[in-house]
Amino acid sequence: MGIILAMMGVFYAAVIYVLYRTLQTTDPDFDEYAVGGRRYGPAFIGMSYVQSWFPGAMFVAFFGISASIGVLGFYCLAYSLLGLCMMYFMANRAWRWGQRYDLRSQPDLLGKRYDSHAVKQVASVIGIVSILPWVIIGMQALGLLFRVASGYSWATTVCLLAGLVVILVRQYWTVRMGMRGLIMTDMLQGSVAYLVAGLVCIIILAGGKGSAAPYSNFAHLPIALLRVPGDGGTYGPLYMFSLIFMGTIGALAWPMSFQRIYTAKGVRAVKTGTVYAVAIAGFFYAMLTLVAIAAATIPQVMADPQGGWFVVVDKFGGTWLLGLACVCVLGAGMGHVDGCVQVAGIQIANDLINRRSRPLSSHQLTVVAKTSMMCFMGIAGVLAYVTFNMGRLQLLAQMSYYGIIQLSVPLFLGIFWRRGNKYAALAGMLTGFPLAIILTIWWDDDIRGLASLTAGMVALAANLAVFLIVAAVTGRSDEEKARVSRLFDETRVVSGALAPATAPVAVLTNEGLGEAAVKS
Amino acid sequence: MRAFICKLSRRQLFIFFGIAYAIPFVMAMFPPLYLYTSGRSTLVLGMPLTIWYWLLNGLLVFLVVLGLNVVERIRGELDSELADTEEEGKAT
Repeated sequence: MGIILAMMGVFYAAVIYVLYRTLQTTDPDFDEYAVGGRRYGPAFIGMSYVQSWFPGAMFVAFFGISASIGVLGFYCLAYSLLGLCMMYFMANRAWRWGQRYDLRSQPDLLGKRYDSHAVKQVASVIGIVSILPWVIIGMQALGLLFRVASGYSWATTVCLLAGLVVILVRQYWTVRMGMRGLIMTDMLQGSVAYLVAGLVCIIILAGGKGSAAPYSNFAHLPIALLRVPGDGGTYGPLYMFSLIFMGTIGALAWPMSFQRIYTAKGVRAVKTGTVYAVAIAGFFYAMLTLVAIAAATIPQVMADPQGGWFVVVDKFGGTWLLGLACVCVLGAGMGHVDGCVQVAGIQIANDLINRRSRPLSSHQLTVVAKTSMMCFMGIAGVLAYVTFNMGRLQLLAQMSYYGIIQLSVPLFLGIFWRRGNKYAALAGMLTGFPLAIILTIWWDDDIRGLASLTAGMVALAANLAVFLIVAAVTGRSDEEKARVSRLFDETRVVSGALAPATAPVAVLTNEGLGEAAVKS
Repeated sequence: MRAFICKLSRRQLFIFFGIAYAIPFVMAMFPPLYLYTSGRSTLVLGMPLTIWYWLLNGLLVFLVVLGLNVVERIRGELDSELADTEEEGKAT
């Protein structure tokens, strides 16, 4: 027990040391605080993107899904990689508009695109509300981590309090440094959480002495582990489709993921960072899922699939490797909670408190953001404690996912389609979000009558339909058409700076695939 | 090769990479495809075909986004923003 806790302590100290070393100013302006001064290259963007995407739950809940149900676990690999690519397709317009108009958050972009403070505020509220359950679950996951690290000898309450203290102390730096602290530590935390964990998985699969989940186990898997939902069983054929589609289109709906675009120093950094993110996420999750499936027939894992990661590494490498496994979970968990808290504070200050009619100064915005982060964290901490044994919390997290994807309609159509307007965006979001919550109360998993479509998908379809109908009915004034045309034209730039002299094209337009798709 | 890539129009590139991205997209989301490969226990290099299907899907996504990045880099389309930001005095 002492060894594992000491290893976690060393890693935690290393994270704090990185924060000390990279602290450049104790009084950053709001641009520095919110988006790190827009100066980070592809490596930082890539790792930070993955940290905002994969929480510590990957080692617990998702490992458990793969270990207990089998190849269904790969749905997360598919939607993660397809979804992460969305940042590539959006990079040009999202980053350019952000840089040109000093946008600092996802709702900021929506407000600019639709020229509406109401759109910005509704999007911000949806984002903040949807993030909260994940912060609570993240804090509770750290509590569970301490149960493992203490050899299950600490009481549940003690473990939860220890997890809360760890994350609250860590948050002091997030509050103090803002985005810079986040980006710097994401690199360290992410390297350990995803790259080291991926290597550990490879070693386990290689089947050295004592490996409980060697590659050779794949030759003897029960057929049930190889079937996806819809292939027999109670689920309909559209269940897998619903899960992957929602994940893919919801990729940049999460504010903490979208925020990464604005921390980049340019479109090149965003796009190349996305390539790194896809590589890191794909390597990590594929290896983790393979280990989980290979370990699926171990009796201890069958009895407790969610604790399977710890069982497998303990059997293979004993206390030291178990300690390293705990450090991986700690790195992923801290990074994800940090990202959530940071973006919540920024959105409260920038999107909800700050108004055109009453603009706050950079200093005031920073103070409000810091205060908001502390309040958000405090509320999440209390709720994490109060709801620790509440089974329905998972449902709340699921509702939040169904809710957050409602932002994807105004976001994608706003970036890639000129005809959407503020009435359509508002009506769509205000239809989709409440509908998703209401439907989830009755159908928290799937809707059998609709071939296992999920509540989130139905709400998303309603959101899209309302958006298109309202956009068609309300139309756009000539002034609005001109404004949107100017916005879109600003991202059509002369390019070819690095093109060889032999290139016959004098002017290339820097359009992403999505933009070309709408035009064609 | 560089000259060939630079000669291609944006439309040609869109069609190529659009189709390339659509392949893993459809593999993951078109029920007849993923249900057809479900439960296939035939071993390929010691691992069931079903698992290879999902790993291949992920690999294809990576290759598409990597390929697009390489092509845009060759065409000089990734760097255009640097000139803009420098002009506006916001270069970092």
